[in-house]
Parts: sequence; C-alpha cells; structure tokens
Amino acid sequence: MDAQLGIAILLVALAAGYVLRAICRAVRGTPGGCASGCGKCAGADAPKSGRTPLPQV
Amino acid sequence: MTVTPLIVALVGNPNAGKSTLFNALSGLRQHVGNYPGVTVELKKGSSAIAGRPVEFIDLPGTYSLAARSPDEMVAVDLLLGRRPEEPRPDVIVAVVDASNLERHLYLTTQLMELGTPVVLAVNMIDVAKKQGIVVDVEKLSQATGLPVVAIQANAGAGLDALRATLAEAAGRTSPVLTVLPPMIHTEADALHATIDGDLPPFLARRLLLDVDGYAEKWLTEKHGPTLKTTLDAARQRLTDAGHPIPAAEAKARYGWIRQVVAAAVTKPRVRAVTGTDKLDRVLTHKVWGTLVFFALMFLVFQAIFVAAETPKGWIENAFAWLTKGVEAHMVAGPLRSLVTDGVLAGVGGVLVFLPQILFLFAFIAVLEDCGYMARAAFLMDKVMSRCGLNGKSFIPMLSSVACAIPGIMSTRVIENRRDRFATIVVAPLMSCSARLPVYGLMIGAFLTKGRPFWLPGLTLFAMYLIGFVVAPLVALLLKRTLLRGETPVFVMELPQYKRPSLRLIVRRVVEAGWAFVRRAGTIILASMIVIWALLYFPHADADGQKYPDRIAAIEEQADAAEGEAKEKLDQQANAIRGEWKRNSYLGRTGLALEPAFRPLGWDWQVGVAVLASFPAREVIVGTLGILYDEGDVDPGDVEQRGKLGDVVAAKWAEDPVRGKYAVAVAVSVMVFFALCCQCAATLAVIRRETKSWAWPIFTFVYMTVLAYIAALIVFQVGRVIVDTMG
Repeated sequence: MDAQLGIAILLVALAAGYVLRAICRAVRGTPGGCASGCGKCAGADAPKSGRTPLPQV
Repeated sequence: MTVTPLIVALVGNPNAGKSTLFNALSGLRQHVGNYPGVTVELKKGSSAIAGRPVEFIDLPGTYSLAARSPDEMVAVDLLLGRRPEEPRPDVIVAVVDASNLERHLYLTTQLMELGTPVVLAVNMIDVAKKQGIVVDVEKLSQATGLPVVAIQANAGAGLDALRATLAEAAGRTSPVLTVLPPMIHTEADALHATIDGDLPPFLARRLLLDVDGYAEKWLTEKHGPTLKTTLDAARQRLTDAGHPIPAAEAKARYGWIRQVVAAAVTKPRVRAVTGTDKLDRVLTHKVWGTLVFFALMFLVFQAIFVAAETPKGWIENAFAWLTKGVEAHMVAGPLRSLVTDGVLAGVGGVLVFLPQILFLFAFIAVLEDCGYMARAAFLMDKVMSRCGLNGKSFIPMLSSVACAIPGIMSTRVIENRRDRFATIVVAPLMSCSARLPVYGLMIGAFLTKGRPFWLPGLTLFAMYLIGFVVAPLVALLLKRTLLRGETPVFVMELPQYKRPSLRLIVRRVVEAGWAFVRRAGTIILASMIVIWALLYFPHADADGQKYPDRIAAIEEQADAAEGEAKEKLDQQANAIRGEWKRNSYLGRTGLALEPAFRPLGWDWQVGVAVLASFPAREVIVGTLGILYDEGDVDPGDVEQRGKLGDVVAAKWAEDPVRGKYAVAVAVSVMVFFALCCQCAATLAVIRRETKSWAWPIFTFVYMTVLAYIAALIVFQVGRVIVDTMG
C-alpha cells in the first residue's frame, strides 16, 4: 500500500468516526450544531454556563 | 474572603427591553429582538457594582404573575426563592415601557407583593418623549414608594444610576403593596391556613385569584377535591360581596395605577399620531399589509440572489486557485484525489453559498429589529386561526426561517400543550437557511441564465412560501385529529418601529457566518470525505486493474494524440470514470435504489446525494460536486473546472430525462428539500421539548412522505407540461 492510500484511509476513518459521533450526540440530545448557520443550535441540549432552560411539563 | 453576589432579577412585560438591559448590565450578548417572546430561557450574567459581584437573571417576559403555564410558574417560584437551583433574588428590577406605563405597572403591583425590594426601571424614555409623554421620575417614586430610574437600555443611558440604585436597594425593606380589597386578603389567609406545608401567602392569593390558573391546577391536584370545594366557596363569597373573581384584582390594581400615573405622567391631551401609527395603517391592513408583506419578501429573496453573485464568484475563484495549487504540487494518487475531489470540490461547493447566508441573516435581523416581524405575525393571525392555531404560533415559525431549533424552543411561550406540540411539529416545514444552498444551486443552474431577471427571486420566494402554506395546513389536520382543541385567542403587543441597530445586525450576521463556516469545516468536511471514500472505493475493476492506472494510461495516449483520435481517447477515459463511479459502494447503493427515485425524475446520482444529505441538508451540494467532478484537471487550465451549477446543468443535459425535463427535476429536488426533515439536531430538540421519541419520529416520517409525494407530483406535472408544450 502506498503512502497516499494509507493517509487517505486514515483520514476517511477519522471522518467516519466524526460523523458517527455527531449523529450519536444528536440522538442522545446533545447536538453539535444544526444546519442553519444561525449559531443558536450548538449544544442546544447541553447546559450552557449562564443559561438555565425552564423545565417543561 | 468570598463576597456573596448580589442576585438581581429583571422582570417585565414582553418587549419591555429586558434582554437589551440584561446585555447592557452584564456585558453578555444574548439574542434580542423587537418583538415579544424572544426570551424563552432564564438567562444569567455576572458583573460587579462597586466591587461587589452581581448576578443578573433575565426572566422571560410576562404580563402578570398569574401563572398559566409551567414555565410561567417557574418564574414565579424563582422570584419567591422556591427553586432549588437558584437563590431568592435580593432585588427585582421591574422593567417598564415609559410610553405604556399603565399596562406595564400592572405586573409591578404584583412584584411589590413579593416582599423583595423592587427597583422600577422606566425604559424607552426616548420613545415616550417622542410621543409627548413626560414621566416625572421623582413623583413616580413618591407615588409608588419605589426607587425609580429612567433609562434608555439600547443607548446605555441611565445605567450608572440604575447600578447605584440597585446597590442601595439591596438589603432594604421594600413597601408591600396592599391594593386588593381586604376581603380578598381575609379569604386568601383562610385558604392559606387550610393548606399544609410551606406555601407562601402570595401563592395562596394567586390560588384564589387565578381561575383555572397553574396554582389552582397544581394545588387541587395535590390536595384533592376538598380544596377545590373550599376555593369555589371562597370565590362565591367574594362575588356575593361585590368582588367578582378575577375582575376584582384588575379593578383594584388599575385603580391604583391610574392614581400613580395621574400624579407622575403628563401626556398630550390628544394622543399624537406617531410614525408607527401611520405605518401600521398600511402594514397591518388586511389587503395592503398582505401585499406589502409579499412584495417585501420577494425583494429580500431577489436581493439575496443578485447581491451575493459577486462575492460567490470570489469564493469560487479562491477554491479553483487552491485546487490548481494542490494539483500542481502533489503527485496524482488517492490522497490528492481526496483533497481536490473530496475536500475542495465538496466543502468549496457548500462554502460558496456563504454570501447568500450572510445576506439572508442581515435581512432577518433588520426585519426583526425594526419591529416588522410582529406585524407579520399579526397579519398571519387570521390565517393561523382558521387552521386552529393563532399568531403566537407564527413567531416560532418565523424564527424557523433562520433555524428550526430556536423556533421550536420559542414555542415555550405557547401555554396550551396541544397548540405547542402542533407548532413544534410544523415548525421544521419552514425553509431554514440550510436549505438555501440547495435552492441556490438548483435555481442558479436551471432558472437564471436566459430567464427573466425576476425568476430567481420569485422561485426562491416560492420555495420559502411552501413552508408558510403547508405548515398551517398540516397544523389544521393535526388540530382536527391528534391534537384536537379549541383555537386560542391571540393577544400580542405591537412594538414601536425603530431604526435597526447596525451593531446588532453586524453581530447577527457575523455569528451566522461563523457558524456556517464552522459547520462547513466540521460535519460537512467529514461527510464529504466519507462520500469521497464511498465513491472512490473499490478503485479496481473486476479484473483487478486499478481505475486510476487505466485512466492515466489512456490520458497519456490522449496527450500524444491529436484531433479525432484524442477526442475518442478522452471519451474512453470518461467512460472508465463513469464505470468506476457506478461500481463504487455509493454507485452500487444508488443504482439499487434508483427505482425509488425514478418517478421523481432523479437518477442514482441525485438520489444518493439526497440520501447523503439526511444528517445535514447542505451535503447534497458537496456530494453533487464530488459526483459530477471530472477528475484531475490540467493545472494550467483552471477554467476547465467550472462552477458547480454549470457542471450540474451540463451533466443533466447529457441525460435524456434530466436533459428534457431539467427544470421539473430541479423544482422536484427543491420541493423535496423544502418539505423533508433532514436535520438530526432538529429531531433531537423536538424530542427534548416534547419529552418523547414519538413526536420526532412522527415528524420525520410525515415530512419525508410529504416531501416524496410533493416531489413526485411536481415532476410528473412538470413532465406533462413540457410534453404538452412540445
């Protein structure tokens, strides 16, 4: 296997891991960002310092 | 030695300017907007006054402490020091609008019954002055018995005086207002005595005064039907004595407020007709207002297309230059292919839409900050009420045009659970900014060149309009089936129009731009690398011959050949590339699923690009960029790597179906994206807000089915039209 192929496979594995992690975080309720670009969705479920979500019934 | 921080709670009616004041006092940058309901979370920020640390708490806007929903009850509990996670505030800042003191002081009268020191911050003093209203701060202080500070939060005026007053007020005893008839207090005290536990007298009064309020629901559930019987008997006694509940409370409070206002506020005898009044005559008119709304939206979308064209070209050139650089300095191989065909073609294809995103957010910020959004909600109330919802549901939908997540979160202002869930489920139908790159690509490729100048803007507007039309219809269906219930009455304050703050607009645009770039550099970049790999591997044919070697051998011959022979060899190289793509993991999957896409006019390449975009919508743009990439380009001929829109148009032109029905296919793709829920984060937030997996699953399934059927109808109707027209 040449060096380029080796590095490419490593990068693909890292990218696949990142995508899987992002999906898992979204499913678990800690999304790492939505598709909007509005900057409001990052960590929407994670408790942010200085922000206390009001509980809902 | 640790100094205990001073806890200051900011309380006021919606749109009183609490968040602006909170930002000014704490130095934080929470989102503010010139329409009610922006704050749906409790926000905290720290600062210091004369060396003492201060913690500011910004509470969601409310008209009274008569809690009707759980989140309103949380705010009341917090002010009473009954929340385990927050200490009781040392000082309450009652933020009131100087131009509308009568109504805003109603909440203040309730705050004055809590026993916590209250400071009255009279905000928007400039707006009042323009209307000829003069508020005498000293007289207001004498009449209310409260420390009063006149402020203009958006300009930072009066904040030093407010800080000094807060420091003085902390620890002092505040006058407790007793404006309610004595009999109400007697009955409330009697009720208080019947309830065991540590219920504050304030909540016993709320139990008595708020018919069907949260306190009644919560306490009668807790203490059983005996309490309900006692409560009804107490209310009947009050009614018999001439204090009908709940009217008695409003009568008593407004009576006191009228006296206060008469002593401290001077108003012109005839209310001056303000600029806001004049504008509202047109903008809230059912015919003219609606026309202006549609005209404004069309102009916004047309401007997004026209103004973004030049900066888009700069980004395209930058990526072409980068690609050229990589191809010139790297030996051909899988890594170079990953960088040029995967990363640069994929991420670059998405990033070129950054200017359109920036323009969209600039327009949203202007419309929000000038006060127009509230008028849009007012205009839509009639339509929404026919669908079983009201204008209150329209604010979350409008917010969803930027992003569905804050839109869904802002449904917390809707008291009724059924209305709230109906709004949550339809909010993702609104076209968020992530759909913009998809619309931009398809409109740029098929509806711009050689078409009327107004067509791109109109098509983009139509795509956004789909959400505005379909969402109320789905809500209507839900309100008649799963979430059946009465249409609630809509009460919303229309704020004064004001000049949008440039600082706020720039901040919103920068935040949006940075979030888009960050997203392109993380999840989209990673997705593009995975897509590239799925399209690159396996990179050998059935005989074990590597595709890159076969292509390189033919290209070598083509370089030496001339004329017709060269052309034939180029075609042969392209045929091998096509075979490679079809034989790849992505190609095989796409070909297996092609029968499902064919009725929509899509081939396997469009189909897999759509499937790949389920975690994030923009991925379709990058995936098409990778799929339609023609491999390595001569380093000296950068122009050969055309704009993605042109490449897509050229590729579709080669196909008999997509060539003939290109516009129908493009619209079918756009409609699918307009209606499909391809956002994992949105589904996660729906689960959080509804506390159930059933609702996100329902949302995903109904939106996907709806999107498929709508795309199918669009293509089939488009095909019939094209065939009919010959």
